[in-house]
Amino acid sequence: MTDEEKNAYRYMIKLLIEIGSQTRIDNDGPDHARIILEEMFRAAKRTAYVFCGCVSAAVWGGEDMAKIVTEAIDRGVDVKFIVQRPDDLELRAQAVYDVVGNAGRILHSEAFANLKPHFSVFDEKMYRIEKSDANKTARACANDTDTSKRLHDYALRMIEFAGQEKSRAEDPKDCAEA
Amino acid sequence: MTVNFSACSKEVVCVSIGANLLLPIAHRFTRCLLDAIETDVERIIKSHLNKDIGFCTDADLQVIGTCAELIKAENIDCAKKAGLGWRVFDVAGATVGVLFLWTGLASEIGGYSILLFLPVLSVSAVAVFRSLRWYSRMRLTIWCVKWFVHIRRRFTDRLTKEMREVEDNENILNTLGANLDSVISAKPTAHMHRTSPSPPSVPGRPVPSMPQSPTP
Repeated sequence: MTDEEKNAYRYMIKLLIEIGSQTRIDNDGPDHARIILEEMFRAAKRTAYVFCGCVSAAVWGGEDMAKIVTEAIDRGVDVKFIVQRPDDLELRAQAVYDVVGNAGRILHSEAFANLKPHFSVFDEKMYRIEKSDANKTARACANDTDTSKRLHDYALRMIEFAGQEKSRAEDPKDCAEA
Repeated sequence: MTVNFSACSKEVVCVSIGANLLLPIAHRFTRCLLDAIETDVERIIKSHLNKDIGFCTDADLQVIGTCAELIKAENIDCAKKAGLGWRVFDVAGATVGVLFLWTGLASEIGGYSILLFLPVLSVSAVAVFRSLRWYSRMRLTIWCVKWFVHIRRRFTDRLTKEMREVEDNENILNTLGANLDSVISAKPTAHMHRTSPSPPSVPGRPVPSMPQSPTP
């Protein structure tokens, strides 16, 4: 994508978020993903839950991404990353990983290692979900409460599950009792 | 260049008699023009609405069919009138012309002899007018149907796309939900844990498998 195309795409996404459009946007490629996620993070007011492989640099490694995520955390947005491969140092976006990780907002459970598809959900309103792993295509919508609520519920269950796993792992007694 | 009809009134009368005698041909011209308008609904659909044929409803065909029927009726009506009305005009005009020539009145009437052309001219004018009127009506009907079909098609396409997307979303969410259910309902293992760049500070606790972040 050229810079002009990126700007045009960003403008369109901003506009869709601003007007609360229910149009579903099918998108592919890391550039599209990055722009959509940046703008949705900017617009998020309460929650931002991300389920992804490894916070990959291709998507999360943008210049402004770490700043945008930090700003979201600072204005009280509940940011959580559920990561499948936290050990993947080569691919991950370190700046974002540090911002989120230092605030204890990265969760991991090996039970989710093969779970698909990846998704991000914001305020039970906006979402981006990967449709096909092979084609690297995803769908995003700036205002779809039905789908977003379901994704939000899934994310909460995953967060709760990962939290319980963490407690068990930290307290062997609880684990034995379980 | 102007033609002085007064100077050649005899010739004008002769020509008008001949033209009047050819009136059935002029009348046939009406029918030919009307016949030239396509009234076969199937052909109309094929030639004008071919791309949208799947989106034509019975009502669309009905509208075109009605118009086609009206043109056919007009054509039959035209044929009936030709049976008597125009032939009376035809014979009368020709007879008057012959009388003018025979009595020598043609020279006295002079330029007015051209009025003997009136039946032929009127039939031709009516033919053109009727044909144009029916042709435009049929074209307008086809255009309206085509436009409605196009709108309907666009709407249907959009609706189908929406439905497909909703269905698609539903499938993705159901798959994710089912996978999550199976993962969560499966017996959890002790090595599942939360990771963060900061290592556990309490000794004796399990060490996360994630390596330290290279940046402080």
